[in-house]
Amino acid sequence: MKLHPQHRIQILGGTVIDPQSGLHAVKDVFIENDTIVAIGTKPQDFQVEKTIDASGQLVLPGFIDLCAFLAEPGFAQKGSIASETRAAAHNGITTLCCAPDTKPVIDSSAVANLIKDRAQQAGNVRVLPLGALSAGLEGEQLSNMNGLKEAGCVALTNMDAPMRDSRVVMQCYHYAAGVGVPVMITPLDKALADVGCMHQGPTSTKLGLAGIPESAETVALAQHLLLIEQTGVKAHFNRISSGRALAMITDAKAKGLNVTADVALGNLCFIDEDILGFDSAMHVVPPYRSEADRQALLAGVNAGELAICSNHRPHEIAAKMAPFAASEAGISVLDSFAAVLMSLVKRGELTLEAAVKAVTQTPATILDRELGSLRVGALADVVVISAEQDVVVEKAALQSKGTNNPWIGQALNGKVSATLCAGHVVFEAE
Amino acid sequence: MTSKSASPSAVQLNEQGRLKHFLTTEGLSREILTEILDTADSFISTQERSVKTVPLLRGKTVVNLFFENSTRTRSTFELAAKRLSADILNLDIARSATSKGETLMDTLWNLQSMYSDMFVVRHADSGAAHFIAEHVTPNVAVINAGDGRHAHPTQAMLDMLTIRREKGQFENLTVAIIGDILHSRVARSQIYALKTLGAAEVRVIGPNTLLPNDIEALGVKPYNNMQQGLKGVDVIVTLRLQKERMQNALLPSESEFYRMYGLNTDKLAYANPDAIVMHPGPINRGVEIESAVADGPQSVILKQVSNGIPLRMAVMAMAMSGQTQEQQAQEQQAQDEQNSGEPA
Repeated sequence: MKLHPQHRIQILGGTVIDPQSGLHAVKDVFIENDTIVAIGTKPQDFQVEKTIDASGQLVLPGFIDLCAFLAEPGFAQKGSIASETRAAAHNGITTLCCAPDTKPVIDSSAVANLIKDRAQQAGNVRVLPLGALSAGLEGEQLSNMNGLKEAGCVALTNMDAPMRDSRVVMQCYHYAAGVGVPVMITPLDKALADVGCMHQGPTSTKLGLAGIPESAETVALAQHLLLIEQTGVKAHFNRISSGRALAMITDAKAKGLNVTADVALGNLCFIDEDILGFDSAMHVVPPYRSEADRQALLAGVNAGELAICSNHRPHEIAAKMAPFAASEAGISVLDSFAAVLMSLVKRGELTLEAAVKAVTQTPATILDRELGSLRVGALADVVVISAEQDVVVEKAALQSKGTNNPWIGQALNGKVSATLCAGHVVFEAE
Repeated sequence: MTSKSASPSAVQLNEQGRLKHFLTTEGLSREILTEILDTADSFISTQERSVKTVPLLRGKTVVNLFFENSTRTRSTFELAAKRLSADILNLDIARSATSKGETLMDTLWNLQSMYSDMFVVRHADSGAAHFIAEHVTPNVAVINAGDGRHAHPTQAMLDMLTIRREKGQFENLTVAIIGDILHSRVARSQIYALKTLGAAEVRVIGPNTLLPNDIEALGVKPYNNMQQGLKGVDVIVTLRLQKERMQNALLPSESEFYRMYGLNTDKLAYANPDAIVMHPGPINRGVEIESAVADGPQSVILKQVSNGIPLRMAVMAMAMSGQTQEQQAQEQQAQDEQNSGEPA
């Protein structure tokens, strides 16, 4: 992201929404180099090099994705840092935390540095690696937490790989607290999940697919909450899937525990019944649960309790060409992230303010970074979006290498017209 | 934003609403289920003749594609195909091709290249037959011979045939299915068939650990107790209890299961006096059923076995006819388009 000297951009006539400052008004935004220098009135001596007409559109802080799989290194058939971050930039994402379950795993500073270098070369979005909580994600030994932190890992997580036992979990949290690095947790009790491949409920019973009970999430969550309290580690719950888990986290926060949580965008859209027909596209981790769970998670976003992450997991065609349980889990999200988010607003399931906050202010606070805000002096991460515009996600227009996008061909609303990352135009619609 | 939640059932019908695959009893109309039973009935008479073959599938190639071992079911399909005059190829790919790293897709593409007309599929994954029908094989009829815990529709329908021949109809019947409902594809397929054919009440009886959560969603009543569950029952289905259920904390022991749920003469007396006793086989004598009951006057277990051949003939003939009808419709459409001049 090399900048020209005295790089100046003005974004004119858009409705500027900034949850952090409470701004929601038609304003012009002026950017010099990587910084927002004025909102409203053009500064004196501001010699414009580029103008973006945002009239009739929204001007939002660049989106922050807390969890996406970029498939590099190790999974060239599924995607690359360049392809996946390009899809992100097309969808208004300016900061992206990438999952550590690559090959090799992000459990050394070398891999973290490689990813940062590749992301820099691609020049699409800011990539912040998530490091492995245990060495090799094997759940046996501590990872080099301090080294990972120094290499720029913003948090450590074991993703969906199981930890050997609760003592290893406790030791990891204890050590991480001392290092001063946050942990990200996707709670799942391995024994209760067993061989399950979807939410346990009437649909799993009908289809004869092994279910993952809600208790697989909540039992693990209870244990994690106790260990977080005991060790004092800064913790974030990533991709919770049930209403009850959300309620437990809300209770824990009310009792003074400093924890946060997010939900994957897909879990706000789909439910277990979408698997009727054995659609392997709907095979995801964590699973789509009941409509009641989906409603509770939407309410959690609307109440400002939850961030929204993409949980992007691109796959090649062959990965999904198998009977449901044998197919690889995950959906490709980044190509439709902005449109799906805006469609949830259009359908009245999320308020505009809550949707924007869940992908800007809330994740910025979770990451403890000066990001996700449109105010004078802030880093110029900006997305200009035509929120109600009809769009169809076309297969031919996919930027991600993932073919497993469940929204292909569907009518959605919301089209990004420009994305700026640190003042640099990383995407502009033709 | 929910995707099209197509029923697994939709894919098994052609545009005229006729069966072109047979994947599950769920979602099929009473008319189609009844037609299957009527067709099977008509084949029963041919089975009693000295020349048992009919030429309905002459020149067609049926491939028995068993990813899971099963001698019994495979043999009945083989016999049914032969009695319909089809050529039959038995492929025992349990662990052979797949263990060499060949994917299910590759195996199927290879078989398709041999111009097969029908796949009879058994697979350990729920939804496998559905997957094959949907993604892999245009113009090939797929018959589900058991997929994971999901469905075993030919077994369920031969049971329906047996019930109808014994009881005449379904409307006033109370049916109880006993044992390992959780892992049973037979039970699921029976439940859907019984509900569609109009059975008055369907019950499942077993310990909680072998009853699926939310089983009521299938329209059945769960019972933990045989005395209550069998009261007023006209048809009793006992399921095979796999030995491995004693592991993985599902059941304490065979003996406790037998004491609570094994169908013996005493427990049979809880049901209506003219109740029939069924079992999809193979039987574990002294585990889920007592010999005196299995071999007793109320047992129709061997009749089930006999009905397996005509029922499978009926399903194979109907699915092949549905495929042919669809192919002809497609060819007709292609010809119409050609005749109507330049394509758009």
